Amino acid sequence: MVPLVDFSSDPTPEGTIMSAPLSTFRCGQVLCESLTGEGTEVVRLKRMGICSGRRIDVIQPGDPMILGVVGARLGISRKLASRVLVSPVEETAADSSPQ
Amino acid sequence: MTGLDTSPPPAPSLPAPGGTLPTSRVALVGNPNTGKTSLFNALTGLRAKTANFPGSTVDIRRGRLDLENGEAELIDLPGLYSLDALSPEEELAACVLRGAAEGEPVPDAVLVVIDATNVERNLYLASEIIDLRLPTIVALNMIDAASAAEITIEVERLSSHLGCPVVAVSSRTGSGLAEVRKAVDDQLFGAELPQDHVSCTAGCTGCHFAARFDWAEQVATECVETPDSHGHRTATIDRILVNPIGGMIAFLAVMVGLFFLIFSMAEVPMTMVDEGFAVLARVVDEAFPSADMHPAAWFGGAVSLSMAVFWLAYRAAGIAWSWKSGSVATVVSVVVGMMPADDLNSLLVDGVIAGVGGVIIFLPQICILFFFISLLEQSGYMARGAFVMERLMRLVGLPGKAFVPMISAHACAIPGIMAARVIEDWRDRLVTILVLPLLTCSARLPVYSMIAVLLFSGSPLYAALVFVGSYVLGIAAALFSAFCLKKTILKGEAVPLVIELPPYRVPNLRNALTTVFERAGVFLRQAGSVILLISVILWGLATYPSLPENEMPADLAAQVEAVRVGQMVELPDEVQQEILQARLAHSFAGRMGRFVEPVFEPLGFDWRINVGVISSFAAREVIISTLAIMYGIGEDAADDEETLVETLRRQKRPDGTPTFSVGTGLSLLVFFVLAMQCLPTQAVTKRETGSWKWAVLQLVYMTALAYVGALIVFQGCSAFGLG
Repeated sequence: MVPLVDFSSDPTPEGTIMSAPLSTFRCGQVLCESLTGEGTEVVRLKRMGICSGRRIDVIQPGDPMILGVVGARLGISRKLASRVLVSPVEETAADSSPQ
Repeated sequence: MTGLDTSPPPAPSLPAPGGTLPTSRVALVGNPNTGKTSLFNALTGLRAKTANFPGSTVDIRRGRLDLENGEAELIDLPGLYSLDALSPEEELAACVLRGAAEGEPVPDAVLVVIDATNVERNLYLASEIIDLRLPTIVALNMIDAASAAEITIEVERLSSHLGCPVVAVSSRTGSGLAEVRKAVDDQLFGAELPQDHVSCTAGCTGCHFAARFDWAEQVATECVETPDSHGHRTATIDRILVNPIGGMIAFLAVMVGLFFLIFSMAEVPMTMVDEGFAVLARVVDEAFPSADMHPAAWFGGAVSLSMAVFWLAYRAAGIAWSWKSGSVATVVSVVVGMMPADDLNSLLVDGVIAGVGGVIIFLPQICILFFFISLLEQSGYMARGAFVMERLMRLVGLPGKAFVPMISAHACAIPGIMAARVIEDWRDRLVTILVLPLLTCSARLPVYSMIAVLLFSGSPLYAALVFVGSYVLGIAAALFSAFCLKKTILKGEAVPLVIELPPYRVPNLRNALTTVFERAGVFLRQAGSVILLISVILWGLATYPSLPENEMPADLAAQVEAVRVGQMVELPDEVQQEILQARLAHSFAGRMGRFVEPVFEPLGFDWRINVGVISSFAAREVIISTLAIMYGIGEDAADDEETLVETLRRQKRPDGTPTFSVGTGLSLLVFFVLAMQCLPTQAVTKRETGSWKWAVLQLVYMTALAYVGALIVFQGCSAFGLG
């Protein structure tokens, strides 16, 4: 897990989730928190499985980046990835699937 | 088709008892990359028909599905990820399933194709379709690939979760096909009623997408066991093919290879078509009966021949014999019957046979291109290509997927435009289609070659620069036009990329060949008739009004008279050429050339070149043979570049300067790089965009661009004393 954003130095109020745009992650598994924006672009992401509560694997960073979503590899442009707010999943917690 | 209908679908039409029923219709649906087309081919054999869905630009294949208790029509709906459709193809599929498509009632049953190697992802669409409450069967396709990857699926359990029959099948090995037929048969003709089913989004208050995916994950966890190693091979290959550097190198290698294959493989069949039609034209010309026949027999023969041609053409284009189409055929046939023998001969040889040849000549490139596109698509590389090109193409406002049409258009714009349907977003697709004909296609090469030899025969370097410059100008003009269209009438950035990178698979040859036949058939039937019609009109423009003998130059008339009274056996070649020249100058095309002279004069064109530009409106390479006729060396000499170039070089303007100065040559070159001048392309644009409006826009903007480009070049050259 190598997020570009350094969460450790970020004074986060207790109780809030540390979330950052998907485009700032370089690899590893993340949990989708929410999507910003409206219209077909958001539907385009959601219907491929990028929606709140779902886990996403970041396979290759860059523009466009490669994600692992629901057993498939997806190429998505960085601009869209920046609309997806995610939080990192701890390696130990990776087994508990969100319901 | 009227957009998305959100109202609940009407109840499925149950097959009423009794015999005289319309055939049951079964829709075949599934995600892209699930082997849906293979399954369609395996179930229907090679009896499928492709047709444009009325009122849309989408092609749909239909085939006959033989069942135990009767037969059904299997409809191959375009692949889609979700009923929340985002492309014209997806929208049509969703509309048909919802019963919202005009003229297409709700299907009697739905066969959902699921990729057995990734059940979880495919369950999303499956659950949406099951919620429509139509009689549904789920086909677990590519089961052989799943077992090879050691994926185990509990089919019974999956079936009880989905509330519909699930059949494991492999269209490659043929296993399970009989069971699919049986399951469809049971749904259509059996007493089986849809099982009780509660939607997985029932009571869901949050995001229904997430609810469905959560359900899919749960079902897949219970029914499917996937080894950890699954997908490693694809991941390994992808490390090279979508790597920012390696990916670009691989992309260039694939494209250069593809391009080389198209050019080298298409050459032989294209020459064969060309020469075949030349031979056919000669045979018809010689076998043409003389005018000595009895007028009544002549009339009857000509009319029935013409009616036979209409019957064939209507059949091929799928036009019904109505009051209107019937009277068009009759009137034209009567006119044909009353034509003088020589004119009819010329119509057959120079109009119809040349027109048909002009259509067929495109087939080799279309076939070869779609063959390789299909292989690339099936292998999974196509998506990687789009991925790699995404950033570059975005700079001009086009999506990465536009690279396929753009590469193809360098062979021929027609397959390029036909390949543009890989672009999902309608606006992006339209912009791509509009700019494709600016890219240098192989039909421009003879024109470039003629001008290169004409201007710079002494300098291979300059001649090579003519070619390179023309290619670069074409690409730059296409990208610039795309940029401008995106800023003006088709405003908006390219839709950001979301693309599935499917697992790499070995392509299936049969699927590739089916694609080739389908695309070739679509082109012949739907573009062919328009092209033929305009070829005949252009023939008329270049032939009529015919030159009366008393208006012929006196020396020519004397020789023609000499042949008639038998003093001479045959006219000498140069006299025949002069007659051809005089006739063309007298025709509408010749008059138009003179009429538009003030318009084209600033480009450095004289009226003879104008005749060439007008007559090559339908096919740009025609300018060479027209110039050969206009400068009095005859059509046959057009194949002999040296003679033609020598003749053109000798031409002088009234003031004594050479007609083909550097300025005029370069101006003509730029004009041909940028001008539309290809009727088949226009016919295909109309077909793929569904409206003549876009074809006309394409013609207008390209002609304007060509005019301005040529004007700048000629005036610039004149300023430097090269005019």
